[in-house]
Amino acid sequence: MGMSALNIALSGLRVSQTAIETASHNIANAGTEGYTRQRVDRRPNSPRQTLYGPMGSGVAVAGISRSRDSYLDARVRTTDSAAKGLDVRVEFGQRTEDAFAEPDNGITASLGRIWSSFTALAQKPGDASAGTQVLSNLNDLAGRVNQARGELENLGNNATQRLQNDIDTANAAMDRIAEINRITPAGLAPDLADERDKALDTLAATIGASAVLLPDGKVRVAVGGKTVVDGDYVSHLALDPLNAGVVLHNTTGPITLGGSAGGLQTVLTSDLPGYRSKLDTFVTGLVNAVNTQHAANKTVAGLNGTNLLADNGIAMTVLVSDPTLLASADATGGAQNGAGAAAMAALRKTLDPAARDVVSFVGGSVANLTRSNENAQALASTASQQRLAVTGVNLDEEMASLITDQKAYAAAARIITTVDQMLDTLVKM
Amino acid sequence: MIRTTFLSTSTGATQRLMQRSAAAEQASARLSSGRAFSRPSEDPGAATTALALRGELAAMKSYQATGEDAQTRLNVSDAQLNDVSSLISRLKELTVGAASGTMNAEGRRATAEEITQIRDQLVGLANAQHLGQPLFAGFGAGSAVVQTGAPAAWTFNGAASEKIMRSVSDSDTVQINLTAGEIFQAGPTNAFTMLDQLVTDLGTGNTAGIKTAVDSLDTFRTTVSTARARIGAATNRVENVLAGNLTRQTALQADLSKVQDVDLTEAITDVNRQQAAYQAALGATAKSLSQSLVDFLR
Repeated sequence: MGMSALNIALSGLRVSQTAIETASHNIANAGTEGYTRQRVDRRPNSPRQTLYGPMGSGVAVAGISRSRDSYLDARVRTTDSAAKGLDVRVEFGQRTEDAFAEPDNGITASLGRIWSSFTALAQKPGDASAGTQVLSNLNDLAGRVNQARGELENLGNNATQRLQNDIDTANAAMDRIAEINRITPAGLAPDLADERDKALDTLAATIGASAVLLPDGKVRVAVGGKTVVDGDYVSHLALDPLNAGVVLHNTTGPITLGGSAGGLQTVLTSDLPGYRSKLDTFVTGLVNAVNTQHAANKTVAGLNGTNLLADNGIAMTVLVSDPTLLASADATGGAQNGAGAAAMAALRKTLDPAARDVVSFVGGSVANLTRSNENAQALASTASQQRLAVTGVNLDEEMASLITDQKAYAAAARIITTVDQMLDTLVKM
Repeated sequence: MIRTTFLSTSTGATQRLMQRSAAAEQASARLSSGRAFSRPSEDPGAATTALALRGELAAMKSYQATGEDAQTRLNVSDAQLNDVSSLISRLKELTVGAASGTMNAEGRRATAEEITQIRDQLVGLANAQHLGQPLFAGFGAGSAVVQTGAPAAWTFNGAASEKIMRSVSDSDTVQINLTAGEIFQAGPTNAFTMLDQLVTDLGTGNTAGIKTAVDSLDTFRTTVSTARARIGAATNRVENVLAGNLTRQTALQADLSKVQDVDLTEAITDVNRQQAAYQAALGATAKSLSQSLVDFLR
């Protein structure tokens, strides 16, 4: 009689102690990112057979489990992947806008000054200072165009660098996941499982990977329909050194990523080239229109206008440096004939709208991205909050369970005292 | 039931605070910059409209500068023609006096002397310049009237077709010059050859020739008047266009301000509202984060 009661009390003491330790672990990790609240699962000990049938024999710890919901995990990863990708595209879009410096210090403002200086030249054809003004404004425009292009180039390099960083991060996370897969085939320790989940979160955020938990407790990770981690097998990703924004899967070739790396891929293969080609189209149109009009004009000395501007797609240059070579007269010629310069100034009617078109293209694209991004961020934040509501530590709960287990522990201790007194009574008989 | 956990409340609170402070920051940046948008993507429609209005405004300013320059040149031309008119009147007086037949050779010589002087003055007026540009030489930069060879051969530079046109608005181009030929040439004869002939006639006492000169002078006076009328008409046109231009500039400026400047009342209200919201969020967070069962267990 007495011995089994002692054993039952002892099992209660042990379980309560485990529960109190787990609660302490939870409280200690209340602020740890990626930590999942742990729970002691209890079950009654297997009954023992007595004369009167099976009888209870105390409590045992069935295991320590994590409160985790794989559906919420998947949701957090999908939404975070989308949000990170858009975030990076908005960032590069805004930096493009900064490079274009519209509406105050950009190409449109510079163009405006060109037209004004041509109008001034029309009033004083052949005037050296008016001509110099025109040339310096043309050079200013060329400078701005080249600067914007250089800035786009820098943005591209920057995006490539960050893509490389993302891929390095992702490769490291894949290695870690494979390692955890290898060392713990089944019955993964909760804290190790947290670490693996955190690595999976990182993979989702950087490359948009999705994970499947296999029946044997291992995870399989796939990106863009291609497996990158399966058990302890890892397939690393690498940048294609020849093509900007292309990432290679080490066995199957080019791969489309999600997450921030996917965003960077879009930036490199579509966003930046799109902005650039819009700018280049405008510059080509500008150079042609200006040169055509200038060729139809005559200088004060009666020479035909030569090409004023040149553009090779990389650098825009002003070909004329001598103001007397500016053709300010129309085809009739003449020292006081400013009709040619006036015709140059009138090019604003077609070229100003073309320049505005560039601004509105970039601005419109970035505005759309910003709106989508705000949406995606809200979704990601909601999903993350929902997951935290399940996985996070609630201090009230932990305090309550501390008190419960403290009482249980005290009661179990009390049983031992009682049994002790009973045995004492028996011994003194 | 949704659990609130330590991390979910703290990250949630941080996120909300960050959103609030970002909104407050944005509102005050908007107020201090005075701009409704700082980058085109904040309002692509307004940004392109603002750019279009700025372009239009710059064009209007260019037209204004062109118009004012045209006005100056027209006024200077008119002043020259006014002088030409008075000189022609004096010539007429002299010629009519000489044509009466009562004048002796001495008097005719003196008259001829004065007429030669006046002819030179007229040549000077015909070659007048404004800011280094000859007024009546068409597109050319040289003299409008040149005496080529003696006796009495005159060359006019600048054909009537050499019209200096100035665009003073999108639709108005105004001619701002007259050529010397349009002022001093009537039919086959020009004023200077005619005056040279008159001087010769005065020397020889050719009364019939002097009488013809009186008629010719009348013709030239008419020609000059017509020329002045043309200048006057052009001046009026430029003035009207300039007045319209200024009205348009004011309107454009107002439109531009509407598109790109912040509405101050709205912006100030917005700043206050955002700051109040931020303060409230701070207060609420401070209260809710400090509460847990731990605070009540003793």
